[in-house]
Amino acid sequence: MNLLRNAIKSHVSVRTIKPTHALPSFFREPPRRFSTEPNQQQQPPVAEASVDQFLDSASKGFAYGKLFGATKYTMKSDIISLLEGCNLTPDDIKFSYNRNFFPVAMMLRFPSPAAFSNATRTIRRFDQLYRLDRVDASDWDIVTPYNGKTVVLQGLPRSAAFEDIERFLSGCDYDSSSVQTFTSTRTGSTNGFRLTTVQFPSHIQAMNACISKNRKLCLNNQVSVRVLY
Amino acid sequence: MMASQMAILTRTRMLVRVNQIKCISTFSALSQEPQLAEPTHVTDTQTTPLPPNPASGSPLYHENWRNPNASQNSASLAQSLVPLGLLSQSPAHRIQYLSHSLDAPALMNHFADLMTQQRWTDIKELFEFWVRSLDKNGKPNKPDVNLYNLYLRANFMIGATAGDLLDFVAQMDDFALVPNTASFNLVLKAMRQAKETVASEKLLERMLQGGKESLPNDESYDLVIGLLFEMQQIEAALKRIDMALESGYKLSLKVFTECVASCIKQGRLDTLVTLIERCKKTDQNRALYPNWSLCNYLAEVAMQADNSKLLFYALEFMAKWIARGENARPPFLLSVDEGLIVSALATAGRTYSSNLLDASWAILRRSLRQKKVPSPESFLGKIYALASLGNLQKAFGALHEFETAHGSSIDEAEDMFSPFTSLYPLVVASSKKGFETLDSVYYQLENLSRADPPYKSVAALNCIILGCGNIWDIERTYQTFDAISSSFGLTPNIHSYNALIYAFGKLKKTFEASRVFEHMLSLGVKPNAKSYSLLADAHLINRDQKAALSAIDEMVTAGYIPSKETLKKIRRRCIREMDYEWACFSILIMALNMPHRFSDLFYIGNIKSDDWHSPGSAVAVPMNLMTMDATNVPELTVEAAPFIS
Repeated sequence: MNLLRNAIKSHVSVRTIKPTHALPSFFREPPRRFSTEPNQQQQPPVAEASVDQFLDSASKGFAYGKLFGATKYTMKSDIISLLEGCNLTPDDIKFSYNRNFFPVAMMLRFPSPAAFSNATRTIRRFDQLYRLDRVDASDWDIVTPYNGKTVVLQGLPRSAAFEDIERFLSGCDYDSSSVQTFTSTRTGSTNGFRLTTVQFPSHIQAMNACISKNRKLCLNNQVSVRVLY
Repeated sequence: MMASQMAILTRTRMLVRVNQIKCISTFSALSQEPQLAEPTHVTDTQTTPLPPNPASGSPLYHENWRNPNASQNSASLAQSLVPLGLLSQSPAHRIQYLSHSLDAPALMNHFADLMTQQRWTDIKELFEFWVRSLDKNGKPNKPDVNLYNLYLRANFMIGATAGDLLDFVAQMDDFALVPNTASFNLVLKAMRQAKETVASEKLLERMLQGGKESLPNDESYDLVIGLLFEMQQIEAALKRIDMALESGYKLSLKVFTECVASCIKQGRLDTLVTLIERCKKTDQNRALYPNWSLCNYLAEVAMQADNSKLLFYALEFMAKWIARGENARPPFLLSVDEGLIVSALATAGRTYSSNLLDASWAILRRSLRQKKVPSPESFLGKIYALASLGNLQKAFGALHEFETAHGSSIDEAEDMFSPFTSLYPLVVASSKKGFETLDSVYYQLENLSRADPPYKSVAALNCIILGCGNIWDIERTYQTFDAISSSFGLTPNIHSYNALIYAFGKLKKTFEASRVFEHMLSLGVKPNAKSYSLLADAHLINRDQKAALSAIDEMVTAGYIPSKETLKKIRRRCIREMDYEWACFSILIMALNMPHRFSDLFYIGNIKSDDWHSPGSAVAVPMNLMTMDATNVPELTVEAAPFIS
């Protein structure tokens, strides 16, 4: 038993955990606090970085836009090539989803107002397909990015337990603690349906899971797998 | 509504009348009975009847047409239901003058003028006066079918109902005219406005059974089918479309789009596939394709139903749009969403359709326009599809393309070329027939390495290594691993070592597996999470949970998080070995690091835990655990102990 006690003692000592992948913000503890005071020692380093970013963006003159017209298959790279002259990076694009994880619009962050007007000109040519609106920084901040690492499973039966989901995803390298289920009711019908999100260590793994597992069966129900950006 | 419908139906039947020549006098047939040859005087003399009245071609002949004031007769020829109070407004003498002075061609021109000015009532009145007046030869004016059609059109534009128009068409008989397609089309237009589906279908039937002049044309079918779709009568509409296509008619784009939308809504995808195929076969319908958004939606629906043919056609339509956009001035550059293509490639793999695979890749290339390379996701989709189709040569070719395009990306390369996940379809396809397939692929890779230019790829060889490991063939596994450096002159990477560890571990050659691991460390190659997991697995297969645990310990030290599966396996082995001390030990290690991740692991028989999520509580090791030993097994209950995060 001494062995045990020693082992525990050695593990209790403070050690910085270096996760191999970044968890999205709402899995991190504690919740982010925006603060303009520079010297907040209690805040873990993560929140400080976001404060810096916040301050930076306020001073750098970002312009924000909301683009309508995405389908559920649009990837960030499609938008980047659509708005070629604006030099967007994948971090400048966030997808805003509704309750059913269907993309409603894309939030874009342009490096300058000139880039925004450039984009408006381009979008005008695709009048019937896209629409670009100007929005504030607050709308940008609200949306949480999934970064292509989250996958949503649709069509799981109500009786599916956690083990069934694990069995369905066997062979994929996913984050077992990240499986979350949402039940939403379609308007006009009494049946709720389940949407389950699972996180993966990288966007490549997420897409691998989509390619190999989409439309496979779980408890005799066909499940569709889709990546969230 | 019913009454008017019935009225219309009865009127349509009247059109079948054969054009009869009206005779004023009739004559009885001569009796053919033989008579006795008796010199009797003939009592009844048969008179030779007069020839029939030559006057035909105008109903005016039935009236007093020789009256110079006939045209002023206020009783109008046709029943105009629209009260033409305008009669009093328009100068009667002007109309009289025109109707007297113009002959048929001149009237036609005049009507054309009036049409451009949209003066439909004028046309109607003028026509009615004209037919009641005499021409320069003193005979009543006789319109031809085109003139009458203009009259019909004028009535339609004024607002005559379908029933009225049918009456007018029936009266064409009086003029010795046969209604033609244009006449009936005007009636169909009125029916369409009034949404009378039954009547319009009946009229179409009549047109089909009538003479050559009244056969339906493209417009007739368009009107009827359009109306049927509007009234949601999909079955009838599809039947008519069938008929139209069979007879070689051209469908309008509007009808085609309606048809596509309706079929999707009703889920009749196979019908839609057949329809599209038939349209493509005919020259006139080949160029039909729905709008861009509908194409996208069609593709999505097809993918959800795993209908590879429909998806292929949807992509074809989109390719037509892209071509059209590029030819426009100024060019309008459309692109397909790459996510759609990845899905399409996956669908091609699922439905084993190489057509779809080629089409998807082609349209992706077209969309990207050489400005950028396909994303890694697209390559993975392509490899998956090719592997699923069993086309190994092309699959490895795709791997080559993938490496060329994205091989230099340092952070993601390990992820992208891992044979355990990304390239796993290739591994499975390579070991399809066991060692035969693996050997043939290996042989091909050898040849390619000596080709000009040489193709050497560690990723490809790693797939072979893992494939050999999968079939428990350690000799081939080792030989391939060795060949990386010896034959190909390349350096094994982390995936090569992992595959080798996996192969050794599977065959319970734990010592060899550990040796590979140590060898890797000694060379300075940094193990990844998979390496540690595989090492732990190897120990577990050897039923050595202590060694497995120490491997996991090293893993955590190195900064990796073990997967739940690995921990479950360790726990299972611990329990099997009745080694509860180590079971709890393993759990504690994990709990101290990441309680929120492994909360549900804390269930071994009666041990339950909850409430792991409260931060800030002091470290408290439950006393039961401390006093626990191997003999104290069955009724273990551990109180929930919050651990610091």
